[in-house]
Amino acid sequence: MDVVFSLLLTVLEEAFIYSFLSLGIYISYIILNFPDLSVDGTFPLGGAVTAILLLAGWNPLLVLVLAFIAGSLCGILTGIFHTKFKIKDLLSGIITMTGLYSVNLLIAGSANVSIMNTKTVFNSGLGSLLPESLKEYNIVIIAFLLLIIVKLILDLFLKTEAGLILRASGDNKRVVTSLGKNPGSVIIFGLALTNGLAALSGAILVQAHGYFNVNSGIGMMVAGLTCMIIGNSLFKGLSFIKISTMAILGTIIYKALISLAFNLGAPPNTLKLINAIIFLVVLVAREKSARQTYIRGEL
Amino acid sequence: MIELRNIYKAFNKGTVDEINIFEDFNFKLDEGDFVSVIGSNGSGKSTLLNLISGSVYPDSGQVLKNGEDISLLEEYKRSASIMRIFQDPSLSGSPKLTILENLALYDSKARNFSLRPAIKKNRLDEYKEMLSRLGMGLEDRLHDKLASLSGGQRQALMLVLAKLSGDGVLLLDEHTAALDPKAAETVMGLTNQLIKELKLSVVMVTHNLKHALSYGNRLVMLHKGKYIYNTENHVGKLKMDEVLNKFYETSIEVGNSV
Repeated sequence: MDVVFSLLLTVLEEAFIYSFLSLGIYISYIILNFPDLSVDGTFPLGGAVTAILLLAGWNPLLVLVLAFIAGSLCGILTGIFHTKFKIKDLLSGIITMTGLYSVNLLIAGSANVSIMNTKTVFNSGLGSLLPESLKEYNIVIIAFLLLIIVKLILDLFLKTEAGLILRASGDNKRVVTSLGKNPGSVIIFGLALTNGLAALSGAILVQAHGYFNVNSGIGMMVAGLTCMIIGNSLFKGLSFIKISTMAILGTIIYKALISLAFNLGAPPNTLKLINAIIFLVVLVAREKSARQTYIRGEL
Repeated sequence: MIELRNIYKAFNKGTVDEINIFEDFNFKLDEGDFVSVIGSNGSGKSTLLNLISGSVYPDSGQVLKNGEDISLLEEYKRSASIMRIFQDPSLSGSPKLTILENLALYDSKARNFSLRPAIKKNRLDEYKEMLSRLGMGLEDRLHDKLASLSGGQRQALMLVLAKLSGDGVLLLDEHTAALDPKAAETVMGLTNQLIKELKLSVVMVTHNLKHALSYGNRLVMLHKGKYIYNTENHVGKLKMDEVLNKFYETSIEVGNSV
C-alpha cells in the first residue's frame, strides 16, 4: 500500500510541475493553433535562470516570476519571426529552440548545475509554514497551490476582453482583423504566455529536484501536447470541465502512464521512446474516435 | 465617403497568367449609398471589395476615405469603420466561442486590449432584444457555440455583430450565396432592414440578380474591370430581362457556363 501511495505521490508531483507546461501548450496549440517548439528551449531556460539566481541568493518566488518573464521574451521572439518575418510556425519555434540551447548553457555555465541547500519555494516562505507532519509532502502541496493559482488566473484572463480576442484569433483570424486588432500582435502575445508558462514549469522543476540539466527541454512540446490531447479527448464530452482542467488531468494521466511503463520494467533510457509511442497512440486514437463520431453523424 | 481613383491592379504580374483586373478604374461610394455590384467571374467585383477593405493594395491609384488617402493602410486598421461579411458563413465570427461571447467581442470592438470582463451583464437584455428581432430563436441560445448554428443563422448573427460594432461602411461579399433560397431571402430582408436603420453605406457584391435589382440605390455591373452599368435609382426601372441579356453576353464571352 505504501508503495502505491509513494508512487501516486511521485506521479502527482511530476504532473503538477509539468502542468504549467501543458497550460502553455493549451494556449499555443489549442487556442492559437500554433505548434510552438520554442518550449523545448524555454522550459530549460526557466530552469537555467532559476539555478543561477537561487545560487546568488535571490527570493525563490521572485525567481519564478523572472523565469516566466524570460520565457515570455523568447515567446515574443518566436512570434516576431512568424508574424513579422513570415517564417513558418514550426520553423520559427525551431530557431528559438536551437538558439536557446546555447543561451541556456551560457546562463547556467555548465550542462548540469546543482542547487542543493539553496532556498526554494518548497523549503522557504510558504513551504516552511507547512506543519511538520506535511513537510515530506511539501513539493506536491506547494506545486499544487501554485498550479491552482496560475490556472485560476488563466481561466479568469480568458474571460476578459483581451482573453476573448486571443481565443477568437486561433479560431478565425478574420475576426481579429475585423475587430480592428493586429492579428500578429495577438499571436505574439499568446506565444509570450505559452513560453512564460513553459519557463515557469522548468523553473519549478529545478526548485523541486534541486538541479538543472540543460537537456531537460528535449521533447517537452511533444510531452505537453500529449497531455493536452489526452485531457481534451477524454473529457471533451463534459462541458462543465474547463479546458485548463482537462490539461491538468491529461498531464496526471500521462505521468501515470510513464510511471506505469517504468514499473513494468522499461529501462530508463527509453523515456523518450515511450513518450513518442504514447503520443502516436493518442493521435491515432483521436483520429479513430473523430471518424466514429463523424460516421454516427454526431458531428 | 469612399473613393477609388485611377486604380490599376494586376495579378500574377510577369507570368503567363498575368491578369489586368483594373486599368484606370474609378468608383465612388457616397454616404448612405447602397450599391449592388454584379458581374461574372473575373469581372473585378471581389477585387473592388478587397481594395476597399484593404486585403489587397492597388498597384497604383488611390483609395480615399472621407478625402484621406488610405491606399496602403493595413486591413485591421481600416476595420474600425469598415465591416465585411463574407460568403462563407464559417468565415463569420468565432465558431468555438458562444453566441454571447461573439456578441461581447464585437460590442467592445473599438477598445484596446483590456482586462475588463468581456461579458457585461447589463448588456444582456439588449443582446436578447436584437437577437429576437431576427426571428430565429437565437435569443434562447446565447450559450450555444457559433459552430452549432446553420449558415443562415450565422449570417443573420453577423448582421447583429455589424450593428453592435456600429460601422459606417458595410461590405457584403455575396453574403447570401451559400444559403438555401429561403434563408437567403430572410437574411437579405434583415440586411436591408439593418442598412436602413443604421443608415450604413453599403457595397453589396451578389450573384443574385433579383437581389441586385430590388435593393439599393445604385446598380453596378462590371466586366473585365469596366462598367457595363453604373445606374442610379435602378429599382423598378431596370428590367430583369435586359440585365440578364447583358449578363449572358459578357459571361459567354469569357467562357463561363450559363
